Amino acid sequence: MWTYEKKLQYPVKIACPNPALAKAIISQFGGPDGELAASMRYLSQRYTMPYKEGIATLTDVGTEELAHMEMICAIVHQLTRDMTPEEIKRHGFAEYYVDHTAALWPQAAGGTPFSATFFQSKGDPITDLHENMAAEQKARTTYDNIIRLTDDPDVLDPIRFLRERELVHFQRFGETLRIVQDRLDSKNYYAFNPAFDYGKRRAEASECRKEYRQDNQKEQNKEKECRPDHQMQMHSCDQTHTLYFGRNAAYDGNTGKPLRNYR
Amino acid sequence: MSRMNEREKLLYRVQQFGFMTDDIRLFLNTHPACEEAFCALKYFMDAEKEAKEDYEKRYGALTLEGIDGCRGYEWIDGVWPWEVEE
Ligand SMILES: [Fe+2]
Repeated sequence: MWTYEKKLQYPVKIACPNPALAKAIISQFGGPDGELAASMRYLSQRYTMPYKEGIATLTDVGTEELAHMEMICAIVHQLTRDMTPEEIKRHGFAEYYVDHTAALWPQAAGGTPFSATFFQSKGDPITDLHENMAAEQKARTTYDNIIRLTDDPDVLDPIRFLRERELVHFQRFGETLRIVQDRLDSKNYYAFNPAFDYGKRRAEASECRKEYRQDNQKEQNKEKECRPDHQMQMHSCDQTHTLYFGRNAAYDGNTGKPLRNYR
Repeated sequence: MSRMNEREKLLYRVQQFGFMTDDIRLFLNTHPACEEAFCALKYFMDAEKEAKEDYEKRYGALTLEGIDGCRGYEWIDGVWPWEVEE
């Protein structure tokens, strides 16, 4: 669970409202590389992360991203407080104002609403960690773009803090990737997905899946009749490495048919 | 920093020590055997706790545990993090 602390991770105190700038910065709330997407990405991925260092990293970075979302919302809120209708028109804020007044709503700078399609949770730690490292760099670029749009020191100070955190998160996910790869077969990292294949092995051995196993056995027997090379695909996960190449050599990639029967 | 009022200065101490614990904790997640970082974590956790107590004595609870029994239910009072004091 989570509890709330009545403070921001880093102070936000903006003297001069600026709705036009708020419209750009809101992208780091609900945009494609924003803090909401970042938090949901890591907090979704952690359930299938097989290694404890990775679980802790995803949990703590995902939690910190929630604190960053709060800082971004505080910046947008302070940049849009006490507006007059004239200011709203002059700053190009009318389109946002008509739907949300001065409330916070997760959208990209261009108006696209927040979407879960902004992130992936793929269930393969190598894939997920690469996604996360790319995401941290994309967020860093967004902050660099925001920094070029303003010279207000009250805005630049917390934005620079947030930019710095993307670099630290990138570093930590890079270390997590190394930890994951160190535990896999260095000759072929992709032969075994530790987020799935351990579970598959446990399921195959578990008592409560007996019925499923018997059905499965029937299926396999059927397959055996029409496919004499079945042995090639029946190896356990430990041998996936050799199987991986074995399968490529023995089967046609397009049809799945054993090559020697293939004309 | 110069524009901070007394309340914000006390809160800034909590934020500084809190940030140190956040950052060291992330480091420890991928370097769990680093004793130096672990000592630093404990040091900054204590410092954060002290800074929180200093703040809460004067300006009210930051978390539910920070509620002072004598002052009643003060959680809804005080300045929320995104608010700017007039
Ligand atoms: Fe981040």
